Amino acid sequence: MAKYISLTAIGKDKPGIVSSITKALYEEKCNVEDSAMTILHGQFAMILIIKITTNLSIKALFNKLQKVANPLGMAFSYAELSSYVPKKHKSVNPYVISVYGSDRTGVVYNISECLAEDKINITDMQTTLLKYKGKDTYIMIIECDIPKKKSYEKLSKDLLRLARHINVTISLNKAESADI
Amino acid sequence: MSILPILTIPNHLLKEISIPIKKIDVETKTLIKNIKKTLYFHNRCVGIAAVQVGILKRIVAIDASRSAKEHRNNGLLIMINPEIVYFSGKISSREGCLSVPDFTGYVTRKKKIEIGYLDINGCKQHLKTDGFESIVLQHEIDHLDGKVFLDRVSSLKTDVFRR
Repeated sequence: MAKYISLTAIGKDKPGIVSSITKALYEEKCNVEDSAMTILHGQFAMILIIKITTNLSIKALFNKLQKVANPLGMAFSYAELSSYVPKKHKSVNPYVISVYGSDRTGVVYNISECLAEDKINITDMQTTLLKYKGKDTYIMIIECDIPKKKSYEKLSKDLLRLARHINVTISLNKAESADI
Repeated sequence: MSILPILTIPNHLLKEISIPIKKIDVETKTLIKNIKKTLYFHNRCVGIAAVQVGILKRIVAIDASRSAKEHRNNGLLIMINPEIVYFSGKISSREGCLSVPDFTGYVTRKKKIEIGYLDINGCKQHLKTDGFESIVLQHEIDHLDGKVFLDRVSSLKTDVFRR
């Protein structure tokens, strides 16, 4: 029976990280089922969901990957997945929340707490700091799932109140698939 | 004529609603000349709204012919008090903005629009357009209503990219 593990690796960005790690996985006949990779503040971060179809133990795979990851200066960890959902999660009622304003501590916490209180699930979040002419502007884009029964109007009001309180701009839009 | 400095987020003026022009006087005409000069000063710029240079008046200047990719367009358009009177269809594209430097994002907008506006001589005009030029006009009219493209990000998967 196939085993599934999550792998995370993060380290200073340089060419060759993805090829080194995926080469090791390929040699062990492991399949990359899902992945997200990005550069955060100069650090290359990768999260992979791996399917192991052979008799290879998770420990043996980890040892092999560590040999590859260590010379690259990557911090590396893994976890066996007890439950695996093969199909990608599809939002039933997806919305996009965009937030921007002066950089201050606690914006992510303030917004995510507001969503958690309304039992709204965050499905994707990206934050970035825009530096321009000595000014720092914080931008956050959240994808979330608003249960049909929940009131869009209530969330909209809650976010508007919060935006005034923490002095940022928050917009809530129904998500649409890009079709270009 | 002068090149005017561009406001960037989170400048509070970019969230304000611009005021309709009642009289196209010398001051308004000078402002329009300066907006045009500023538009052509920035290499890849295809549109500017007056609020982006700090003036809360309902004026936009666009020139969709400046896009690197060729699109059907009407060249330079100066619109005073522009108003979308008809729209249909949807189109998604990646937009950038001088007021949100270094970033672009996917935004869904109306595909075809019809706009009523005043030209620089105060004459009523009506324009039908679609595609890229329609997107540019909607983007600029959004500025007049206190919105930047970040307020319209609506695409799965995300959305905001470094240029």
